[in-house]
Amino acid sequence: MNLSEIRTQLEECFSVVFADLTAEQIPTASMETVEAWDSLGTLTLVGVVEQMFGVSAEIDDVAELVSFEKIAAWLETKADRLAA
Amino acid sequence: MQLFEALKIIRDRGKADGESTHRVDLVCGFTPLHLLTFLAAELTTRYDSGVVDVGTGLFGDIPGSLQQSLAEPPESAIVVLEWSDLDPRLGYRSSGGWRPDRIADVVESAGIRLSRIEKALAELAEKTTLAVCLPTLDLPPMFPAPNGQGDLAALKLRSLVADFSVRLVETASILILDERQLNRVSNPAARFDPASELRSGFPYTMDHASSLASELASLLRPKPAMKGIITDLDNTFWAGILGEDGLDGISWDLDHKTHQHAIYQEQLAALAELGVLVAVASKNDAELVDQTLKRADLVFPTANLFPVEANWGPKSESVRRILSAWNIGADSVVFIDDSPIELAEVHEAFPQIECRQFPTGDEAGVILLVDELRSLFGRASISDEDRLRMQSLRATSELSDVEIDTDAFLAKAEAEITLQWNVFDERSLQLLNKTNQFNLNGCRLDEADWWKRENDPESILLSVSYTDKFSPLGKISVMLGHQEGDAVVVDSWVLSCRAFSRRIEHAVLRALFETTRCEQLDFRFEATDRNGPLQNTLHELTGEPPASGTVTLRQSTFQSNCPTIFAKVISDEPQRDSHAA
Repeated sequence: MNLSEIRTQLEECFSVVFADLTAEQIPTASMETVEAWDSLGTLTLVGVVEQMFGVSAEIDDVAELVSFEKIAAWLETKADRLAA
Repeated sequence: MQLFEALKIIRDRGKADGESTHRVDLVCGFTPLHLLTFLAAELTTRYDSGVVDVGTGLFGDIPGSLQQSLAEPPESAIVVLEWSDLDPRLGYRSSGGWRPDRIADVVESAGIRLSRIEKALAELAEKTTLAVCLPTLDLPPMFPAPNGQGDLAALKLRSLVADFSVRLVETASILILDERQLNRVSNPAARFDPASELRSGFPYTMDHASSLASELASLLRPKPAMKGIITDLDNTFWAGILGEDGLDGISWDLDHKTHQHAIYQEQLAALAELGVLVAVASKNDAELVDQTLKRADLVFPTANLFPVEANWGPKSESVRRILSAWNIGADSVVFIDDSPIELAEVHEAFPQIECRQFPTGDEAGVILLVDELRSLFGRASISDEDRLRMQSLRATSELSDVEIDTDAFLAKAEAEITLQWNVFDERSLQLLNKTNQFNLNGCRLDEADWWKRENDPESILLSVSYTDKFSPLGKISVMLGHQEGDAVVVDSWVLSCRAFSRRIEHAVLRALFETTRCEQLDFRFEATDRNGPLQNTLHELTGEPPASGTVTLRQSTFQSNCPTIFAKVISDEPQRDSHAA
């Protein structure tokens, strides 16, 4: 899976977890800018991302996954293990 | 269901139909997290319209949450109990309860907590529909008995919960999620997620949450129970083919290793007593079936079989007549047959019917089938409407209008007929000697006759194999004849009853005309008690009922009366020149 595909799929994840976000808002979304993104929102988002990409987030990872960019970067570190 | 899919279902329904709302309360003592999402999605798919709003209660306080629901009763409520709801010491998030001297107190407090929950549930059940799930996770490792030995305190706890559930069903008509059903879809050893429990207070794995939500939604919004079963007979209701094995050759017992058919009959009998209609659609000799259904050792009481359609026509025609007699819709009926092609033919005519293949020879498969039947037809109580002579769901006239398009079905069957000339093998002789219904004259040949015919240069033997996209039927027809001038005399001709209604007989005759270039076929026909299907074919092709003796079919008459043959016909060349004029 290449980086562009990762971001596209991640955008889909955001669009179902935070249904009120527009497509333009998603790439800049973070816990600070999205009202619905609370700790439960994080758990839901991480759950969706784990299932979508077939990866598992450790507890230390979860604490860092606070914005679209950070999640994308985290996934990119695992790009070689992601199914095409 | 994946979490992404669940969220998408919820989001899409919210956009499409945000006006009406179904309020459902989820009462549980843990963080509902993904269970809530899956439940909202599963319920959304079970409501035709409207948004499902799943409300949640107080963390760790089932009685308090029930009181909240009682103050403003929802459309329905789902209560999911885990052991820690009976006493926090029965969970992992509370320390200080696993030491042996405290276990008796845990059991006692669990009993008291269950009584409080029971009282609140009974009150809420008077206001709304209520579904309860008993603990789905294992008890924690706190009991002193060694592994493998039942611990008294643990047994007492399970007993408390079992008694509690009986009272809920008996006195308050509360729906309890069936543990057996949950075990089928969610492996008990793969339900608990310790990391999730300790980090967020959500104890379930994603898969368990998804399965549990699906089962709870089905419990609250069940599909309507099916109403009728149409069953085949040969290799389904019993083992064996009645027309070939005879009345005494079929079985459904342990001695013959065919007891799975008795189990099937037993399930049909039990369902019939619950008010399920049971009918027969079988390609068979009606008189033989009638005799067989009088056998006293049948497990199913055949007085409860109505109607019995035993004939040689397409199964879809039989099904149509049964539906008309029952006066119910095809969408509440299950059709069971061992033959994939019969299932496909019925499905083609009645796509709403649930078709199931009877797994002949597969005991485990039969158990799964009878289990599924219980699930499809299960009902908690028997209403008057459920009993025999149910009122109509659809007008009879509507059913009579259903057109059975045999041509369309056969055109899509991808059938292939293989003709083999003058190969005198044992299978062909066996087929000639054991086939009754489609048999030209009932004459049997012994081996000496057979090998004599092989050495006769005037003999013509045509053996026929059949396959289609559903299943291969193997060798199903044999014709034995000889050439006399411009005619071919057909001395013997059989077609297995498994291969009826596929126009194989027409393909055989066409090949005979084309290959031998004869002007007419002279059939040495004798009416027998059982060769009605053969008589019908001769009648259809010659235009008149056949009389015993020589029945002549001219090529021009055949061409006029032969229906379209859709099968691809593959024919080898006759091996002896003398056979092709």
